[in-house]
Amino acid sequence: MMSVAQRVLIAEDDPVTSRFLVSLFEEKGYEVLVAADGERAVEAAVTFQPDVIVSDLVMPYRDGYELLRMVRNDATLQSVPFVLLSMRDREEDIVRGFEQGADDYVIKPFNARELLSRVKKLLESRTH
Amino acid sequence: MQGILFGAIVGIASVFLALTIAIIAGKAWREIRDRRHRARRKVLEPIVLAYAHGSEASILPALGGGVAPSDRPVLEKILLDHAQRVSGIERARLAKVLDELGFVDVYRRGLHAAGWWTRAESAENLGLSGAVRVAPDLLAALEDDASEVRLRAARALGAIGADAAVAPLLRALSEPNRWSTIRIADILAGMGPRIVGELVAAYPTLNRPGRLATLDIVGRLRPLETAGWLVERTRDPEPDVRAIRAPRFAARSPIPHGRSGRWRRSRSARSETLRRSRTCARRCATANGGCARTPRTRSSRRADPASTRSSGCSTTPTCTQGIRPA
Repeated sequence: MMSVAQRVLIAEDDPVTSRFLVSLFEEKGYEVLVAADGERAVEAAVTFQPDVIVSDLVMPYRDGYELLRMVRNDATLQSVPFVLLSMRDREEDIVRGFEQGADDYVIKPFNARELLSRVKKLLESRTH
Repeated sequence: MQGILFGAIVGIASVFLALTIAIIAGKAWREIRDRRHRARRKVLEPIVLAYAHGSEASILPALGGGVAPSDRPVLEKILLDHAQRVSGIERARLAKVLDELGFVDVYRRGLHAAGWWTRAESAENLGLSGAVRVAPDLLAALEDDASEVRLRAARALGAIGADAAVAPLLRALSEPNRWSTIRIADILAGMGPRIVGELVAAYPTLNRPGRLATLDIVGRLRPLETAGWLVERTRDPEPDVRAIRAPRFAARSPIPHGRSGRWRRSRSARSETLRRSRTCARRCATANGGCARTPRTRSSRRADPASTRSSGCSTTPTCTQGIRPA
């Protein structure tokens, strides 16, 4: 169990997936905030100052790429690990995600335990 | 006469009134039911998710030893909603709950329902249940009269990943009049590289559409051990087989017979059908690092302007990746 809860921002417009992710991360002791669209995710990222962002790719108002670009251009957020979570499994989408600065790309339907491990690894590499 | 007219007006008004009351009552009942379901979902969903993330053998103790009949549809919806969004252990545990609470048996019975929609939905839910023991039921559903039922049963078999499913799905590849070859190919490709052995073994027994689809699947799965087999396909008497094989092989290694990239691209793009032309152009672009120049562009523009539009980068100056000099 972590001494200070690390904060996870989930940008996901599908309520079922976001509830699953909340349950997954909260169960492991993370503090979780959900944003239901790209616009709210941008605001939440600035106010919540998450330790890691897990974002869907296709969302209303701003998509995951835009959110990622905004995060990477923000001085206080640019080092925050960013995981893209998407149903899009085409090579070009994955490459585009990494080229824009994503730290990881997870394809839906996702393996929950694998996602947890990836996020944990990213957080560890950030602290070291 | 006036009495008859009055009676008719009252009768019609009564019917409209009764219909209005029935509609309002139905809507009110649905809203009450949905509200109750939402409220119960808030209670039950955390229990289901805690079970999915945990390691308990059964969910029943967490549900108080059983499920009230009124909670069953709520639980079913929760389980199906989450089972289709995750994979791995969590998915397996959600599927186990579906089986434990008897939903799998309900779906099995649903495969024999009179309405095709119920049968199709049951087949889909059986796929989400992931229960390998239902594979024989789904295999039987592949012979259903309704194409939607057959397709969903095929998808379910692919999702379950039952080994017994591979042979009938391969047979389906050779029946383009009864099955959508593209969809069956997607299902087989989704089953992963473990089916490649069976694909290669079945290849000689398949008809032309089946062979082309098999090559497409093998190319998508890209198992290294099929490289030699793909080289063999370059000697196939069927031009389309040679054409479809070329970019598939090019994606993994240099061209085996010293053919130039130009030959490969133009060969593919000269393919006889519109669909093939478009597909080949796209594959060539992928195989050549997103760049394919004149042969493909020229022939595909002739066959189908859409393929030229979709190629996107035909004027990219560097075009060396994966191509041996002519």
